[in-house]
Amino acid sequence: MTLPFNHRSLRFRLLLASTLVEVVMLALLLANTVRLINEAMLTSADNAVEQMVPTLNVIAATNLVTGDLATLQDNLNAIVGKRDQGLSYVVIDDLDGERVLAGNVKADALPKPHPDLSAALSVSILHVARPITLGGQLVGTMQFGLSTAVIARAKADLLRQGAIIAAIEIVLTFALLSVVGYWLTSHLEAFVEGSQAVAQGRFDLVLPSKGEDEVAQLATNFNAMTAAVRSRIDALARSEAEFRTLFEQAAVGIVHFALDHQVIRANTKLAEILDLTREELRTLSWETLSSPEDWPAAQEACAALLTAGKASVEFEARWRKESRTVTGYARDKGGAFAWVRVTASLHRDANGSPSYYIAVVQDIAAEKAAQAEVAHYRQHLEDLVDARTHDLEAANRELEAFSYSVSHDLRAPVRTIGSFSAILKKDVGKKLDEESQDFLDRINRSATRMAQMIDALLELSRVGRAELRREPCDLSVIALEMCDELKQVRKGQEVECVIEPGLKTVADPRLIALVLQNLLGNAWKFSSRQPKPKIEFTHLPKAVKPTFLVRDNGVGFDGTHSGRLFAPFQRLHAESAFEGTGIGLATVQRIIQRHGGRVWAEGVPGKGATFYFEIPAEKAP
Amino acid sequence: MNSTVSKQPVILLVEDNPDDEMLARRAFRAESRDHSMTVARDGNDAILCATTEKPPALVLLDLNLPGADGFAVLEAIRRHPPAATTPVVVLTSSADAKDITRAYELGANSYITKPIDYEEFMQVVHRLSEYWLDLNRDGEECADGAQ
Repeated sequence: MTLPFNHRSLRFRLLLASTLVEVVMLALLLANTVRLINEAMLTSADNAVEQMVPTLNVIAATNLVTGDLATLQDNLNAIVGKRDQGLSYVVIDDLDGERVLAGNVKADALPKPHPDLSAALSVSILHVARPITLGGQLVGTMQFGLSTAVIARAKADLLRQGAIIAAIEIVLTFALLSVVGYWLTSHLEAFVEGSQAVAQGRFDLVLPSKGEDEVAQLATNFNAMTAAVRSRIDALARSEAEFRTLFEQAAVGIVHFALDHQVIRANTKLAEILDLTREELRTLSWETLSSPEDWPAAQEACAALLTAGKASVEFEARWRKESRTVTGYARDKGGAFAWVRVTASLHRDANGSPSYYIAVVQDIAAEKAAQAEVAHYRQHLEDLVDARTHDLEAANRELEAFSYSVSHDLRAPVRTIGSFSAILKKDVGKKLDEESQDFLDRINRSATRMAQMIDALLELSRVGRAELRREPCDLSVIALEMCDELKQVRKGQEVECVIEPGLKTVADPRLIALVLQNLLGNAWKFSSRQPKPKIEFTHLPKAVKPTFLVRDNGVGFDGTHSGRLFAPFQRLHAESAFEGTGIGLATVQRIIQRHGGRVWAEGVPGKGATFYFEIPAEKAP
Repeated sequence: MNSTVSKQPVILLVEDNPDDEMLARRAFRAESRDHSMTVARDGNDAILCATTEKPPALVLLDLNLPGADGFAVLEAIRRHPPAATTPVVVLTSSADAKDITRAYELGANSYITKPIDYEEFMQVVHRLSEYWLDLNRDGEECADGAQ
C-alpha cells in the first residue's frame, strides 16, 4: 500500500500536475481580467474626463469672458461638491493669469497634469489640464483632479471576488482530482499488489472486477492470466513430481550425464545396482563408471547420438561396482564389475541443442550368468559331441579298414580255391566220375559267389571311405544308361523302362551311379519274371527334400520287413530264387546317408516294390 | 635271386603268395611261351632283381608285399635308368582307386586287379604276353646282341 502523498506516486504527480495547470489557467484568467478591468477603467476615466471637460468649459467660458469670477467660483464649488462626480478639485486660469480654484487644492502647489489618461490606473487622483474655448476663441485653461477611487474600488472588488472564485475552484479541482485519482490509482494499486503477489509466486490473489469499464476488463484479464499461469505452474509441478517419482522409483537404473560425461543425477535403483550411494555417484563420470574395455563403446554411442543423429543406442557394458565396505573407489584396484545393458539417448533443449545424455541401465548380471552357464554347458556338450564324434569316426575308420583288409585278405584264398578247382576240372575233370565233377562245380560256384560277396563288401567299404565329390548330375541320363546296360547284360528279359527325363541333383556322380545301378538292377531282377515287367524311375512330387524313386511291378515284399532290407547280408527272398550278394541295398543306404539323405522302401508281396531316396540340396551338417 | 642269362625274355614276378605264384606260372605255361620266369617273394628282393644292368622284359608286380611294398619297388625301378622303360604291370587284389591312381603316378604301365575267375586270369595273362612281351622283344634282342 502506497502513501497518499508519496511524492513518486502516480496519484501525487497527477494531482500536482492538475493543480499546476489549474493555477496557471487561473493566473491567465486573472491577468486577462485585470487587463479588461484596466481597459474599462481607462474607458471610464476617459468618459469622465470627456464629460467633465465640456461641462467645465460651459461653466467657465462665459464667466471668463464676462470676468465674473465670483460666479464661476460658486459654480465650481457646486460641481466639486458633488461627490458622485469624483471631482477632487478644479482650477481655472484666465488668459490674464487670474485663477479660480475649488476643492482640495492649493493654488500655489498645483500638481502637474498627467500627460495622458493611462496614469489613471496608477494614481488615486488623475490630474487633467485643458484649454477653455468659446466660439473657437481660447479664453483660459483648466485643470482638474479626477478621483479614481471608485474605479479602483471596483477593480479591487473584482479582483477579490475572482481570487475567491479561483481559490474555490482550486480547492474543488483538487478535491475532485484527488477523488478521481484515488479511484483510478486504487485499482492500479490492486494491480500493483496483484503483480507483486504473482512475482512472489502467490497466485491466490483475485482482483475485484466489477462493472464493465476498462479497469474491470483489465482486472478480468489479469485474473485470467494469473489463473492460466497458476494452472501451468501447477501442471509443471505435477509433471515434475511425476517425473521425480518415475525417476526415483523406476525399476531400472537411470543416470543423466552432462555432455562432458559427468554424472548430473542418478536414481536409487542405479545406486542399488552399483552398490554406491547417489552422492558417490554424482562424483563420478561415464568414463570412471565404465570398465576401461567398455569405455570406447560408450564413446561410440555418444558420437552416434551427437553426430549421427541416432535416437537411441543400446549396448552392454561392465560398470564399476564398488562395495561400500571398501574404502573409496578402488578404480585401480580392479574392483568388481556389474554387467549392465545401457540404453543411451540424448536430451535436447527446446532449440534442439544437446543438453545431456540419458542412460537407462538394466542389471543383466543374472542374464549374463545364465548366458555363461548356457555357454559353458554348450561348450561342454560340444566337447562331448566332438569327442564322441571323434571316437565314432575313429571306430568307423577302424571298422572300414578292418572290413577292407579282411575282404582283401579273404580274396586271395577264395581266388586260390576257385582257380585251382577250375584247373583241376580242366585238367582231370573228364577222368572223374559225375559226382566228383559235381563237387568240383560246387566248389567253384561257392568260390565265385564268395568272391562276389567279398567284392560287394569291398565296394561298401570303399563307399564309406571315399571322399565325396559333389557335382551336378543328370539322374535321368544315368538311369537310361543303366537300363541300356541291363538290356545288354540280361538279354532275353524284356522289361519296360519308364524314366522321367530331366531329373537332376548335385551328388558324387560315381556313387550316385552305383545307387541307380543297384536299385534298377534289383527292380529288373525282381520284376523280370512277371508277365509284363515294368520299372519306373521318377521323382516324388511335393516332397520337402528332393526325393526320387524306383518302382517295379515285381514280386514285392512284406512291408513289415522293410527295415531289414538295408542291412548287409539280409535277404527277404530265398537265395535260390534271386541271386545277389545281399550288400547292394546296404551300399545304397550308405551312399545316400553320406549325401545327408535317407532311403526307404514300400512293398506289397506280388504287387511290386518302390524304393525312395532323397538327396538334400546341401549335405546336412 | 635266380637270374638266367639266355635269349629268352625274362619275366619278373613279384608275388609273396605261393598259390598266386603257381597260378601265374601255370597261366604263362599255358601260353606256351618260352619265357624264363624269375620270382621275387618280397619287395627288397624284387628291387634287387629289377635294378640290374639288364632289367627284365616285364615286371608283374603285386602291391601287398613283405619288406618294401609294391609302390617302393615301382619307384626303385623307375629311378634305375636301365629299367626306366621296363614295362611294369601291377597285378594285385586291390581295386582301390587310390592304389590305382598312385601306381600310375609312380610309372606303372598297366594296373590289373587279379580276377577271381581262373579263365579270366588266363585271358589277362594272354593279353599281357601278346602286348607287353612282344612289344619289348626287339629291345631285349638288341640288349642280347650288345652283350
